[in-house]
Amino acid sequence: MRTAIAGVVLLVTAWGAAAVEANGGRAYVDARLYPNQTAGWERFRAAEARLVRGFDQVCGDTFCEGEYHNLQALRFRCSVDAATGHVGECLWTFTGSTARVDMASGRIQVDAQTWACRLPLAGNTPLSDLLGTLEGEDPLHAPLPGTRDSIYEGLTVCL
Amino acid sequence: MTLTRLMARTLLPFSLVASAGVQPADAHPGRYVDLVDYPDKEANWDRFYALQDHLGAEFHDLCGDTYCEGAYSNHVLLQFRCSVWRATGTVHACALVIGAGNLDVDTPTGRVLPDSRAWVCAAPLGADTPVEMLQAALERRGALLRPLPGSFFSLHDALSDCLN
Repeated sequence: MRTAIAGVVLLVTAWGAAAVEANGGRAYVDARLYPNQTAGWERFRAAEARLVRGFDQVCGDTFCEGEYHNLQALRFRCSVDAATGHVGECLWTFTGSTARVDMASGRIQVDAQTWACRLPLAGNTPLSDLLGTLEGEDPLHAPLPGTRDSIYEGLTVCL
Repeated sequence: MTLTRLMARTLLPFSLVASAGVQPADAHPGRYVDLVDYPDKEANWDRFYALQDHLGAEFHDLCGDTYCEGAYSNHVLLQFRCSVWRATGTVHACALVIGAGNLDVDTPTGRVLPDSRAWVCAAPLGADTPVEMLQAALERRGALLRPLPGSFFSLHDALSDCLN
């Protein structure tokens, strides 16, 4: 049994190594775990919480004025090149719905949707620079490092 | 530039029949009305949206030890909606709309992979439940856990089946 488990572990390790090799030797990690979980987790989650607060504050007068008035942020996550500390990409997901009663049948007709929005990051953006921006006064409207685009501007396209 | 819409319009084909007993054959315009508009247009607005907020808070409180322990841990109650048979003032159907999602990093490529979902869950209503009786029951604390009037089942029972 022990041999079998060891075989599986070796196989998984070998597959992982092959995949990394095929990608030019790069390996990415969740930004919450960079440079390690102790240092990365709280800082990233605090940045995510700031973004969500910013979104909730502006939603009523902006994104939530459209067809979906109940938009909710679900998750914000980034990948980071473990070797360089550069961000691979960041996604921010949302959900929202609209419902109406069919007055003839009594059926409740629901249109529920989800969105995944990619941040318009410049190439080779250091995670520390991105987090610095998100920790600023107005993370939703601040230009992202090396760009003129803010997260807010991008959301108007995505949502 | 700007954000890219990846999974936008993941339209879920919900046209929910939220309870048994829908009889399209005898349906005709105006027979049913949204609970918000019962007995008149927007007459129930404040009470209904207070009820929706209450159910959302109860859902949030309950989720951590129940639905949110599964594959998704961030469910949100997006909407609560009911239809009322205008002639009798009884509730015909109610639905809860829930959203949740995960994001995982694909280690070799650096792609962040979304897995977001939404559910429409029907309330297990008792037969011919008067509007006032349902609203009063749902306005109580622990509303999700109590059997609905005239029913053996609670909203929690229905959500457990629907979300798992």
